[in-house]
Amino acid sequence: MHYSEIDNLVPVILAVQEDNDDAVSLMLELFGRDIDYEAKYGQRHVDPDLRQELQIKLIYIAKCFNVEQHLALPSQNPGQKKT
Amino acid sequence: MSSEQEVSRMFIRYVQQALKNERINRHKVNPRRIKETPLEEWLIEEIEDPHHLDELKLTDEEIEHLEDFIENERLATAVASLSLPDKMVLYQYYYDELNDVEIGSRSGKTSQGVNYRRQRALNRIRAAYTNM
Repeated sequence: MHYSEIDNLVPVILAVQEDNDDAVSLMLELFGRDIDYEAKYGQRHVDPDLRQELQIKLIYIAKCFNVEQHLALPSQNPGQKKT
Repeated sequence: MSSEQEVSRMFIRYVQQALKNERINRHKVNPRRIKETPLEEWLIEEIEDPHHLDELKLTDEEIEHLEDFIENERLATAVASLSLPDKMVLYQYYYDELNDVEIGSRSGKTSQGVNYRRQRALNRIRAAYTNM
């Protein structure tokens, strides 16, 4: 499954922050295509070492991502403008 | 206030950029990373001392009895039927890895002459081998 198929990633991020193994697996699956793209960039085959490093980086980012702070940011959706 | 969908999109953009940066950083750390290829011991010796394998080369007397160095008995018998110049040409071509021009310059023959002799020698071996 790719992240474009999911509308809302926030529950997954929060579950990863609670060390939910299924959520970690899902997160890796959602960004698997992006990780493989970067791990293969400029080479014929996917670099397994870089792939692993990127997977670790992804989980680290998910754990550090401050959901509340981002939810508190002002919305940039112009469709919600009040008259 | 941002919606959870907006936060999800922010997270995706953030991850994409972070993965890209991680890949670039790793490349900067190891810009000239060369994959090591294990070399065999004889090849390392050959690089260190290119002439040490000369001892393994056959002398003219040994080339005269080239068949003694061939394990396959049938092939050895076929090679034994050749003359010394024929054996010399085959030895220089297949063991010393010289081309026809180089063999010719060493023996005072033309490259065409060497090529003809080599082809004829191979035909003789083939004929002797198949008629056994």
